[in-house]
Amino acid sequence: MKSTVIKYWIVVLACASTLMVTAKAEDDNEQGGDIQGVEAIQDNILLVATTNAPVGAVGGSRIGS
Amino acid sequence: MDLGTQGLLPGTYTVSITKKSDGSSVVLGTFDVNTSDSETNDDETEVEFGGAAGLQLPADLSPLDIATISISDADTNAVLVGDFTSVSTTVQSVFNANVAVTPGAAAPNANGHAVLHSAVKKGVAKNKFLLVVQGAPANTVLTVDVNGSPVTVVKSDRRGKVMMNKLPNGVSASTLASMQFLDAGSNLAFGINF
Repeated sequence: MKSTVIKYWIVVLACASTLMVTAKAEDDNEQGGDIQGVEAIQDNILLVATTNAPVGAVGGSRIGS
Repeated sequence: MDLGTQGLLPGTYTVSITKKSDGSSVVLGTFDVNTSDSETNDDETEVEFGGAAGLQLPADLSPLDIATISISDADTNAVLVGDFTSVSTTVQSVFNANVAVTPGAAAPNANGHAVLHSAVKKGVAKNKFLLVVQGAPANTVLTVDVNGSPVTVVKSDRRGKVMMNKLPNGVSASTLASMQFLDAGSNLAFGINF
């Protein structure tokens, strides 16, 4: 069961890696204004079951920007 | 942000996160796990936050600022937890940033950029970092605060240029939220927010 979820997230990652979106902050050309620049993240992690979880519970999470 | 769970008992679960920037906790919302389909034995649940069809994320929450995630049951007991700053539980991660420095009172003409590339794959993290700033006070030792704590020092050259070609020892790209460069009087020369 656990390996099924891991495989699922690997497939999700493979699909998502082609869709990475880039977040671009606005450039106001003024010192002291909003941070200027470009940042992008694509992060896939496993969720770990605590002692409160049913036996066999697993999960995953993905964030992207 | 997407979530996938398997094996949770039917019920309502609450999703919360903590922020890298200030350690605060934010509740994102709830989702339900329904009774398994007896024919397919399908007990998987998928939840989307943000996006067109997903549950709304707080407007001021940046995905870049998420450190940990927790899924709690109706009794507020955490059942699944995840750490975006942990290499060991990261399936794969890529982070790229190219941000301009913000000048401070001690160097109002400071300008430059920091470039950071971080990748984690199969439990191995690799980082590339470069900071180039001009307009800092010349020949000055600056204390480097990372996320509010001093970690190292750098010295500007005679022209007021500051360079760093790697992250300070002990600093992980996955936890990096801010860097501030302070003079001997603890005055901000310049800073960077990731």
